[in-house]
Amino acid sequence: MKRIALAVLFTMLTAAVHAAEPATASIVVVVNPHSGVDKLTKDEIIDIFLGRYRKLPSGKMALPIDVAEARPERARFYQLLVKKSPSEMSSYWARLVFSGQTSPPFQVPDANTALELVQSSPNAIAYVDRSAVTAGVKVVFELEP
Amino acid sequence: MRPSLRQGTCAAVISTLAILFSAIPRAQAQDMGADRFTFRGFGSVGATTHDTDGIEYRRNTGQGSGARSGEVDFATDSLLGLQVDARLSSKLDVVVQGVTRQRADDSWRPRFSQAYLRFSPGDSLVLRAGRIGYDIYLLAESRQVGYSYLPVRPSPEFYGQITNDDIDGLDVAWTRRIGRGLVKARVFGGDGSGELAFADRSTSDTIGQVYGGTFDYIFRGWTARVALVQFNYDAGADIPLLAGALRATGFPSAAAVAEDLDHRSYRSDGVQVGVAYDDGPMLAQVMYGAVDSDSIAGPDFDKLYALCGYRLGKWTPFASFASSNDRSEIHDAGLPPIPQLAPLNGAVVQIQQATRSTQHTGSLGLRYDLNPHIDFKFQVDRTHVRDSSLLFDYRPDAGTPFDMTVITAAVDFVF
Repeated sequence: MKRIALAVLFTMLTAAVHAAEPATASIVVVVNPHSGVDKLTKDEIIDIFLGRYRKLPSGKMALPIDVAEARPERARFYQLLVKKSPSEMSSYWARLVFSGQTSPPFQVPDANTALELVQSSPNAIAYVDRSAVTAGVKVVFELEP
Repeated sequence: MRPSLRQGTCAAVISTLAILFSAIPRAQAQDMGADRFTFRGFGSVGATTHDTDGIEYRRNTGQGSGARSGEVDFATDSLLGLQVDARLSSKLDVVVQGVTRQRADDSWRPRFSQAYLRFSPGDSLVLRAGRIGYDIYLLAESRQVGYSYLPVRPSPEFYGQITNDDIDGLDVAWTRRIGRGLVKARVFGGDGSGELAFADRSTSDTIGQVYGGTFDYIFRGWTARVALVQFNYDAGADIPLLAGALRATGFPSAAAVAEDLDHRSYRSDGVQVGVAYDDGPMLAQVMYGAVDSDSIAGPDFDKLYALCGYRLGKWTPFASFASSNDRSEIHDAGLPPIPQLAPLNGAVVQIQQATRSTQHTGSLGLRYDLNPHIDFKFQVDRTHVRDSSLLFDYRPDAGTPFDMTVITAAVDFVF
């Protein structure tokens, strides 16, 4: 039994590969122009999107928005922000959601919907590809690959 | 198993929450069009075996039986949980969670593990009332959710003596930014219960009050926590009878033991300090915990736990070490070794054995993330047991130290 267990463990270890996808474009964090926020630090963005402390420097409550799990910009955002894969983020939220600590960001299907919400809500904060930024939102941080 | 007072309390909590569900007009649910109800779930299917004849391996003292040598056991590390979140307004929501897992009577009766009303009046203050978890351990706020941590199970040495880590009460959490980090303080209090199963297949409920608090400092990937908790639990109906019998012997040593045991409730004070680093592919944590009790009937031990894992793509190999040491030796009532008094000496020893956990384990494992909802884990544990109630010992030389190897494969999922 011990020999079999060691063989399985060794096989799995030797099969381990680096599978992280290289990020290709920068992601920007956007807020409503009337949010009273001109810029955010990386620490503040981490705290808002990881549900640790959802307050903007202006004193307003922050309402973070995630795009759907299958969207590539979501995986890139968290990879650039906290170096976490989609599975690790799912594991992180499982820990907090099932213990009642906090809730994950509000989820929308795609970046266009996220931008619409940011344009209509002074508390909303979202991330999009830099190329997708529209005139109705304000960029407060840029995550470069 | 006698019915628990908490069953009535929980029923009242559930009823209250159900009334709230129906009483709040749908129009009040407002959060950018968020769904009012969210259904979630989690579970694990674990296959566990080991190599030591006569031992039943358990993950906590609330399991009525354990994995046997040479057999593959699917009960020890399997469970299923369902949760409903209902958003009543932007500041008020309700969470109800039920879990089915192996219990002290070996049944899989579902149990409400959480059922609370959460009020968030501001960004930094959260109040919860109802059945809530009183998580005092780092990175394990939800220790039933295998998908949320690296090993196949929470360390039995560190977590195995706590069978139900929830209370019917309330907690208040307060968070504030200080410098570049966050300070989070939480206090909690309420009625708690625990289920214990013994090697003779008998069971026992423990009912009492739990109070405590946690204090965290969080900065990027670092989290430091200090937790204090006090358990006050009923001594049990049999204790006065035992104490009376001990006093009746007339021996000073037996009278001293009776004096120690003869209280309506016992008190245990626990402290836990821990540091965790969870940044990028690296996860590491170190924790120390200690519990002191005011009676020989309660636990009195030190615990240490260290875990380190490193992600390589979808694979995360990890290693851990856990140790639990009872501070005092077991002693009997000091009565002469004559057959008439042997049951009294035996009863005093048995009371102390119920909370023993002197053992340590080194583990190697591997987690593979199939997708963001399912993982596969494989783990090998090497455990040295000196004196522990975490396992059932049916060996001919029961009670003597031994080593065992436990092998587990598990699939965890969330939805």
